Amino acid sequence: MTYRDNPHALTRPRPLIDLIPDYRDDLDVSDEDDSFYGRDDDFLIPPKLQAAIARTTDRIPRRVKRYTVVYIAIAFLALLSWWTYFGPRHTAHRQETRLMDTAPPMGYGSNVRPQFKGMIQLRDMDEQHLPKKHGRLVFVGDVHGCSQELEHLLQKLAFDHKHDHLVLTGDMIAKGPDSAGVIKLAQKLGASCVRGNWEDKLLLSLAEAQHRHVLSLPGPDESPDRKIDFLDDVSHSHGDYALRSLAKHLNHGQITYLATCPVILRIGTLPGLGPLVAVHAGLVPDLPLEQQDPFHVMNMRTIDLKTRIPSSKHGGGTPWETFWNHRQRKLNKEERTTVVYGHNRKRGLNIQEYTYGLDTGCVSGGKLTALVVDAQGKTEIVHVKCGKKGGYD
Amino acid sequence: MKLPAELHLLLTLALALALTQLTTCSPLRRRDAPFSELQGLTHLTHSFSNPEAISKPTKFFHESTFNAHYDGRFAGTELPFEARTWHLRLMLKAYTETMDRIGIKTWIMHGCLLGWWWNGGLMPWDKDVDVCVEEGGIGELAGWWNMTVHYFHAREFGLVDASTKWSNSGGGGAGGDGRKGGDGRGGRGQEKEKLWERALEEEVRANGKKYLLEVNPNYVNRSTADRWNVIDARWIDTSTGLYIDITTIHTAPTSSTPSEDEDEDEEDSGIKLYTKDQHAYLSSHLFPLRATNFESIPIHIPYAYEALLLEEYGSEALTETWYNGYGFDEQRKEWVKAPKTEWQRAYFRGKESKGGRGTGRISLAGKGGGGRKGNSGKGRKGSV
Repeated sequence: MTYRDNPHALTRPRPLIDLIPDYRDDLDVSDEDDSFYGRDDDFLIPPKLQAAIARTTDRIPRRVKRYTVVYIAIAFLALLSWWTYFGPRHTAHRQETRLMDTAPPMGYGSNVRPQFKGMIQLRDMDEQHLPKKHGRLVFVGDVHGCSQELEHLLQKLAFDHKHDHLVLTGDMIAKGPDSAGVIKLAQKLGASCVRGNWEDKLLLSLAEAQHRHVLSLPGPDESPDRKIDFLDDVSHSHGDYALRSLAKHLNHGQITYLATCPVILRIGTLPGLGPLVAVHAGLVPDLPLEQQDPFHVMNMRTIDLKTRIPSSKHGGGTPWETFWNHRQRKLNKEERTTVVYGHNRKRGLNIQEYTYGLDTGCVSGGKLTALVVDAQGKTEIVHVKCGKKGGYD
Repeated sequence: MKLPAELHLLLTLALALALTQLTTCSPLRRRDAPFSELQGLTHLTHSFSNPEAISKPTKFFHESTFNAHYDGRFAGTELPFEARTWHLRLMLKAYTETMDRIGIKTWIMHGCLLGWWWNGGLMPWDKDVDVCVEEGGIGELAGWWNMTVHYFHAREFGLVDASTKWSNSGGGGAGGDGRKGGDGRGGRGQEKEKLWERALEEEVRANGKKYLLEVNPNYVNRSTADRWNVIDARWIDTSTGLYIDITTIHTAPTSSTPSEDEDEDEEDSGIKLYTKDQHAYLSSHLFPLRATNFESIPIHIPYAYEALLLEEYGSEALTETWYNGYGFDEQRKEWVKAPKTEWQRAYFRGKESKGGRGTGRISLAGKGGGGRKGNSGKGRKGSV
């Protein structure tokens, strides 16, 4: 008996269930059908394109698809870092390269090179000192009066002055404990040297004292062992007390030795290395050695590429060695000059293709570094630790 | 007490007079040596000095009415520029020799140093020479050498015999170092130039040269607030009125500079120094001095010469090869009157369009009165 057969049915309202339409047969959704799992049609993307997208995305493995968000994040990070860091760096680098390649229309260096009394601008090292067979050339930077360390270093190298030759790249004196000892050792070994900023300062203030007749340097017949002696003990000059007290430890022979150190020492041409030059601080590329400003050769650290004016400051310009290496690569192979220098202890050991920076801050508790070059042009770096912790100065 | 009315009147009148006298009477002022006392030293009959008594009552040295680079007590007219350079050269030679002899440390500065840097000599637009001394030096000059007249015979300038002079004029005593000295000029202008130069030499040969060293007593006042007395002494050529400005290097009051940073460079340490014309220096940039030649005269220059020039005049002054109607001849290494070349014009046009007008170089012309050089703000470093 159905519900309708109920005699009371007519008097009752229609049951609610009757109000629900029955489309059961119209609905052809079946989970056995493929389309059941298919994407909903969004009508925005033409079906052809949709198919194309589906074809390509289907080829990507699901395992990869799962990490989409991660990829997006990485891409975003990469973009961000390019915008904020690598991009500017890249432009700066390109700018720098462009500046290094194009000389400014009005650049530094058209003036007459300054000439100074008692200063040797350029000298060639005696050819007999170039390494032959087992001989070596040993470059040591900024010794600064650390004679014990220098001796120790030479011992470590098994330095034999019969066939090895020592070249000191400036600043062998001042700051450290025994400047006289360093010069003495250098004289004993017949070492070559270049004039550093400290030698420069010392020699200048001695020359000044001599000029003003408070100091007399010996004539040729006098003993070179006589100590430096000032006639007036009260210094009129600003801040040369330290220099004068340093000078008092030296004798005239040692001063004469320092005075013979040229600003630029042309070492000669070595196989595999090409022409080699020793200076204390640096050189301006594309300017002949004779034309280099001696102050800058003893003091420079950076070069302002826009004007090509060197500076003794660390910041504010391009490191001169970067510029030097860049310019050397543009030259013919046999013209590329290698520079051995010191002076930059903040940068420390700095070896590039055409420059060897050797100042490792021995006097402030770092290391004393030697660059050893043999007859074949092979180079080697040898260190010793420096004695006093925290340095002497 | 009873006095007649007439006497009363007289007394009050006298009192009033005395009072007005007291108030209007100016205090005793220091001024450079008056013209009347220089009779016999100067060839002028009246002074061309700018009085400035009202406008700058504390000023000691005065310039001429026609040009700030001449002393009006000795100069009646400006010199043509070749003659000026010629006289400046002799004056500097006499000055350095005298300072050498009396043992005073002195060195060149400012525009002169720039001239040395470019070509080892004066630049054609240089109107004066600037030198510096230390405090001890000016003390000695004031105490022992003030108002001394230094006579130089033509022989001391190497101008004895005309024939010997001209036979070796090419070398010019430059010592073959390639820096300026003698006359490097050649060609058509030479004959004409020789004529005027010969006339000048003739005069020196006849009369010699007398230089007056006058020290400003305000040198004891080290304050830069004393702005009308920034020049501490003058070395005056009594025949032309040209002079050398001598300024003193003082130690800055906040002198005790603790070593700022252990790793910082020794070049940037040192005592802070200043001059009254508001230039500040570091002792490590000035000392020890370097011995060199300027116009083939042995002189001294500061230790870090280029750093000082950069600070005072900017990088343009060391790179630009055209300035103020003069171009730098790279072959002859001297400044010659020349129009801008094509590429120089392009360079300056490019610079102008960028808007980066350099200001440092303007000061080279030395337009500032009283011998103030450079833009005083620029050369300052640290607070003085």
